Amino acid sequence: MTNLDGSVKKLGLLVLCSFCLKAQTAVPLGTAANFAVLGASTVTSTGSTVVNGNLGVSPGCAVTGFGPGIVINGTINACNAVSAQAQNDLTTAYNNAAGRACPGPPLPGDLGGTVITPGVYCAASSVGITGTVTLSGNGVFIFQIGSTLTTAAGNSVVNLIGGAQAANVFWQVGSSATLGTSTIFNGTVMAQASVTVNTGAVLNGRALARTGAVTLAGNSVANPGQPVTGGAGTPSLNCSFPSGQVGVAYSSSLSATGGAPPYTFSISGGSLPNGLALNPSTGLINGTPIVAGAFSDTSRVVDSLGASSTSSCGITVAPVSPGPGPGTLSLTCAANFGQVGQPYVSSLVAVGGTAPYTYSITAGSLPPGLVLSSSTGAISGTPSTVGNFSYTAGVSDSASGSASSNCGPVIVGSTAPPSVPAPPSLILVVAGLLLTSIYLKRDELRARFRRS
Amino acid sequence: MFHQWSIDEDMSHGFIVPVVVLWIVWRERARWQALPPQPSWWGLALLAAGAAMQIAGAFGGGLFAGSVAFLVSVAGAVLFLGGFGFLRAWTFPLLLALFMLPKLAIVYSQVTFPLQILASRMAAAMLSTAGVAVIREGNILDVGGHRVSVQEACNGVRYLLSLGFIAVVFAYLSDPKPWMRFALLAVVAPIAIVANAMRVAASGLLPALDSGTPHTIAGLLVFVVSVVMLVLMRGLFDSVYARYHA
Repeated sequence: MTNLDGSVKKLGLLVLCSFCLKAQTAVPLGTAANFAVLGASTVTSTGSTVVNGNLGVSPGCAVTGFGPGIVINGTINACNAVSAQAQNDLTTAYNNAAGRACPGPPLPGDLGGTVITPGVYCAASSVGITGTVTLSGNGVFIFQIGSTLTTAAGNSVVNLIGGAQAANVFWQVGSSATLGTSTIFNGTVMAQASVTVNTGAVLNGRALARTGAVTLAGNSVANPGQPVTGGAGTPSLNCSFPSGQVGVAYSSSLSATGGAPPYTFSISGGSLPNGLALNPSTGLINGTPIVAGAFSDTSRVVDSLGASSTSSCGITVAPVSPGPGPGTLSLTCAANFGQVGQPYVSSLVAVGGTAPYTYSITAGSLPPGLVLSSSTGAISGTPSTVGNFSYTAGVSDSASGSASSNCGPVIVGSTAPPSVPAPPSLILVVAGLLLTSIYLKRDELRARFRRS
Repeated sequence: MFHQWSIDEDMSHGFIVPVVVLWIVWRERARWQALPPQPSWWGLALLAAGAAMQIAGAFGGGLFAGSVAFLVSVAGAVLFLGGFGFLRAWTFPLLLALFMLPKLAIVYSQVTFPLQILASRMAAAMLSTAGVAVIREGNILDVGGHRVSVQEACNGVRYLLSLGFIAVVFAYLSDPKPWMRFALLAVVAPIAIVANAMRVAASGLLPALDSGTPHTIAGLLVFVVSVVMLVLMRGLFDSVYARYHA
């Protein structure tokens, strides 16, 4: 019966798509399309997350866990104008997706084992994915989900075949989306509340949360680029790698657009720097370089239809360095903790370049009550508001050099953090003597216990 | 010293040290009672040295000098009345009494800050390794908005002194080999430092553990784990020794 149900489910979806659905246009994401991760309250990562594309949060400011997480081919936009505009555009996109006509029968509760062709699909409540759901065909897929979207841990996959592309898949989720451990997921997730991506899950798409948090745990999240219309064509390969340094952990990735995902990546000529390795499925390149130098290679991508393309790529590995050279201007942030009502005194510190320096806040804002001295870099005052405040500090020197740093979040609490002393030593020693006495008398105690 | 024990929670174990010292002297009574008294004039020299230290302490040498003077005077009295045989028999309890001396301020002030930072770093590393996002700035840890401050009293000295005393007494009671006391004393520092960092990490992770009774119980449980580690280390040392001296 279960198998029959599954067959009916698959057949129903295929039949549905074959006569009911007309071709859809992609959901207009606006500036939200530039983001791989966009949260409303916080963006939190644990472990070695790699975000390929912009990361943002608005109206909240808290971005934690970067590093050890890293953002490549993008920047972190915490409560600034860019992330605020992206949130506005996300609202427009979310409403656009939610407002599409939904002609067919509702989606089943679990999409595992189904094959779906382009179109608009709806579910009044929650949808789960256990196993593999296959999206087949070159077109736009829009899923309207009334409540939660959840993928099971371990083996859940959103598989793309026949020209389907991650950039053309949109998941409009009425509450929150949770991608289970090790899930391989494709498409843009637009959640009304929050998005949680559990350990090791790979998201070839976007995690966009309208009112809540985006929580990551050692994931690879790659912005799939703008929606692609027309034929599948040939995949194109992007390999703008950042530089590395000997002895410092390195992570970057090859990314592909167009063609028919999934892609298989390889190095067809030259070599990666010693110590780095390529994951053929995800395009992730990571490891720790052990030799300095300029390494060039020819990277290759093959899509599911066998179409391929190559690109000349290069990674420069710098030797071990004790730090910035004396002539390099760099900027260190001020202290990250403050307390309402208590004086805060810290300083931005510029090193290198040519003094005198001029300091400024180029994005975000200091906690209310604090002011920056543009000539000395000192940040002082008495914080008046509890919260987390991120800002970008800049410095310019007298030789027209400049540098900036993403600072914070500066965490302003209402009370001083509690101290956590150990119990008094008298208690510790009495407990220790008691414990060792019991250990030394264990045979005698055991015998007495047996007698009783 | 009594006043110091009552106001300094790092040193409150001082109340129990004399009790243990006197119990060990009583336990060893058969040994020293069998010795013939052979009074030595060198005892007077030690008593004079003790008196000189006491005077120096009174004129500005501080509490530590005065406390050492007390122990030197006791050793001098034993030597003067009983002789070198008595002093040898009482050497271990007299050395154990060092644990009741107040902290030497000049040493304590030098190690406090490095130990605070070490505990903060290790706790942050433990939390990060466990997959918990933590921000450390100096001696303050922020775990998802919950902050704890690793102050002077959290530096691990309390675990270090308490566990050191337990290690020496445990070695004395469980093993006749004198080197075992030094071997266990040598492993006290790493065990105590790691245990203290575990305690700080737990307080950072669970807000309920950063004050009150749960905090005391958590600190006590971590110390119990340290004592268990000590017992296991003694078993390990004994096994290695037995293997090469079978």
